[in-house]
Amino acid sequence: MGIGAIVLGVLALVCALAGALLAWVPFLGTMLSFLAPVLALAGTILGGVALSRAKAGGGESESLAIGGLVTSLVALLPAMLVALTCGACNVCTTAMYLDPELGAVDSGPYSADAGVLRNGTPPPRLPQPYAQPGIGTPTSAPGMQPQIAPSQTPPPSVPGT
Amino acid sequence: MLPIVTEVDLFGVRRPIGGYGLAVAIGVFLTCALIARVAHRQRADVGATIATLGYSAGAGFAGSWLMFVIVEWARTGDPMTGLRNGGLVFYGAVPTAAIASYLSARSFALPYLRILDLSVPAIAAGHAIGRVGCLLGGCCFGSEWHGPWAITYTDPMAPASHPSVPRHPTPLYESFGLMALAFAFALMPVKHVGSGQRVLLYAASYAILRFLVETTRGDRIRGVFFDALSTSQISSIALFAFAVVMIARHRAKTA
Repeated sequence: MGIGAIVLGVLALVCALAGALLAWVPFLGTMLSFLAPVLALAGTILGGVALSRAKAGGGESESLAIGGLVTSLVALLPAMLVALTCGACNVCTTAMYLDPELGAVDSGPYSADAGVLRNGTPPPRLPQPYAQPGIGTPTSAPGMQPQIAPSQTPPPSVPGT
Repeated sequence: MLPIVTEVDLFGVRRPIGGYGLAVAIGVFLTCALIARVAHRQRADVGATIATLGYSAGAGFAGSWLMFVIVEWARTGDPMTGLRNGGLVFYGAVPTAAIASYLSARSFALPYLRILDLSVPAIAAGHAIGRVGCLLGGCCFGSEWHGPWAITYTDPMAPASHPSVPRHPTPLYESFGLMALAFAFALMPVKHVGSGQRVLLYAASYAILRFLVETTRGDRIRGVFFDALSTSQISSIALFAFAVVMIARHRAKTA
């Protein structure tokens, strides 16, 4: 189990690195990014069980168990960061949903941002008071989703409304 | 605020490190480290505790993501919306992590309720740090407000910057509230440890805190039910009711 934990930890590191590098590849990049923390967590669980068995004298090597645990825990941090950068991704995506022109102007330093934009994911209907005439209303282009024109700034909202 | 904390260069390819991801990762690590320390001090099996934490972290992330997908589905009517976007809803993690940790602790014969009762400050502190991620990322933002400590998000990557108006610092309210709960439970005399009363009391306290904090949230787009309550407010009511009923049942038994 200790060896298994080490292998999973190393695989998690490889997946995290590959996931970060291949983030621009649809599907593959996402799968690798999310596989990394899964592998690291599995390694952590295996390492924990191995340590538990080693302490109980169950035939496991304590040093291997600790090695596996440490490797998996070390892999878990970058793996979580890579996966949860989807949190930042989510921020970017949501921002683009709310203001699709933002994506067109600044498709981001990361190719994944451009991918999100070019997929043309439809933005949601804007809640009041943003969905006022000219702001967040559908443009005239057929098939286009509601957009905020870049030159227009949202009107000042009245506090309490 | 700071959606992208920094960038790393991987073989000439720049990749961002998101503030949200960093804060959540630190929060999870801190909580797990403190719980492992609790187990060590209680002379429980640390290896088994780490394995249990691994199970509950995995189940927690899965549950919070599933809840996000469900909420997005309910909001937009399209099940693909949640799948296309990344997102986590904290309340989704509570039942799945609780079930996974209970089953794992049972299989390892760990003193589950004892460790859980003593880990309440660690759970609250880790959650407080995770909420700072919302502040950095500009998600879970507050409603428009022009009070003395209002904050204005200007980074266009932050959803709270659309529009860029002064807002309640809602993630900070919850973060400070959670830190206060962490200190309160750390200083609270340790009684009836192992009965689950402390963790139930924490659940009830958090439900009240979350219900109140939700009233300052500005991202109403994530769903409003009965024209008044957000998804998390409904979850708060359910959690509060569950905790109070369980506490009352325990008191009735021990009385």
